[in-house]
Amino acid sequence: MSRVLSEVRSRFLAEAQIKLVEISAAAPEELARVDGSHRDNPLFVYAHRVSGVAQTLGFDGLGARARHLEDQLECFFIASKPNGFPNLELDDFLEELAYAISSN
Amino acid sequence: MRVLAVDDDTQFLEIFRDALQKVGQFHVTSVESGAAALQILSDPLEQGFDLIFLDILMPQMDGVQLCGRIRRLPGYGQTPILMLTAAQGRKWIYSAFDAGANDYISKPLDELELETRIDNARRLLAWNAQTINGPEAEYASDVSIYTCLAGVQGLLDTVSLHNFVLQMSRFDLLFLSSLAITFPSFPVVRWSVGVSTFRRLLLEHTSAIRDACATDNAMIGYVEDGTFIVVGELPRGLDAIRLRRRLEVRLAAKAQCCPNDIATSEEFEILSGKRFTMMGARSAYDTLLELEKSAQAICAGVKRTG
Repeated sequence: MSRVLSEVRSRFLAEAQIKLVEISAAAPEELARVDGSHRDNPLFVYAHRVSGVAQTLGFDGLGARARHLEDQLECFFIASKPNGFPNLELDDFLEELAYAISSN
Repeated sequence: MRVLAVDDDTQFLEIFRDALQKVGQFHVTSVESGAAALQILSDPLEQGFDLIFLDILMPQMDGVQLCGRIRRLPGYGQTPILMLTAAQGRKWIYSAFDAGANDYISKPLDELELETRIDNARRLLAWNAQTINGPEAEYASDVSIYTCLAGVQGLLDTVSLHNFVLQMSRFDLLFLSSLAITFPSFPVVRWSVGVSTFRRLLLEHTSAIRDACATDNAMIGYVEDGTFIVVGELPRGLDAIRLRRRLEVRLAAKAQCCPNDIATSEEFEILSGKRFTMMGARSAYDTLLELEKSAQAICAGVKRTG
């Protein structure tokens, strides 16, 4: 692994720890809040970022969870909320995030 | 090779820069927003970029919007633009192509894919240079345009266009008939091969349509968004200048802009104003219907008075 990749990986994990606490502590209505475009929703933004970068950093499972969460959030925000807020996908994502932090 | 990378994720930008350095010798400039990218691209002190990478999903201005705006900047009409997209973003790729993007790279980043796409972009750069500089190369690229078109909906539109005109000629229609038709992938072809080559293709089509009509009175024009306008036989009492003016007014009304924003050249090429360029395929189709109705009305009027 290159030095740059290793450094980014460390920062990614440090940020993940903060995000894990933030997201876990947030109320559902806060997570589902959209001001303007759903693309500005903090949870969606974070899931999108993780899905773009996690696998490159070697967190394959987390990348897959993030992509799934991002998909489900998009369905929730755009497609008239057919299945409600994706709590299950969020839990899976947080579990994988915690696993990534603890095992590195 | 000077590269501009635009992504709101600084961590990704770091990884991306690192990956680029592994793939080749690049002077990389990275910015985190569309506004910053436009500022740097418009800076006269900057030497220009050979290759541009844009993330699709960014706040404020997304990559697709940014791509369209870059294409309108002087000097960036031909620069290869590659979109960076996660799997979820692929549905936006098509609108990115419409906005002038040349290719895309998937996230998570794969160095082999990155290298391959960059090689492709280099070939495109060389090809564009040849297209601009050499008539023989330009002819060769014309063939490639047809190949490009073969894979896209545009070809079907062209076939429809020819069929329409052929039907017109069969019935020996001696009245004005007009048709607007949209090339959804026009920007892809146009930005891929260059404006001059595309105009040559347009002239070839014009010639073919004129042959099909067996008349010199058929005229064809196109709008920057890929809308072709074909006009058949002119009715008596309506000269080309009046016809052009009439079309300008109608198109301006449709695009909700001033008629002066739409200028026509001697070749009846309609150069669109900024707002008109924003028209989508649906609007162009509406324009077609409107123009056809007006053509029929004019025809009926000419027959009554003639």
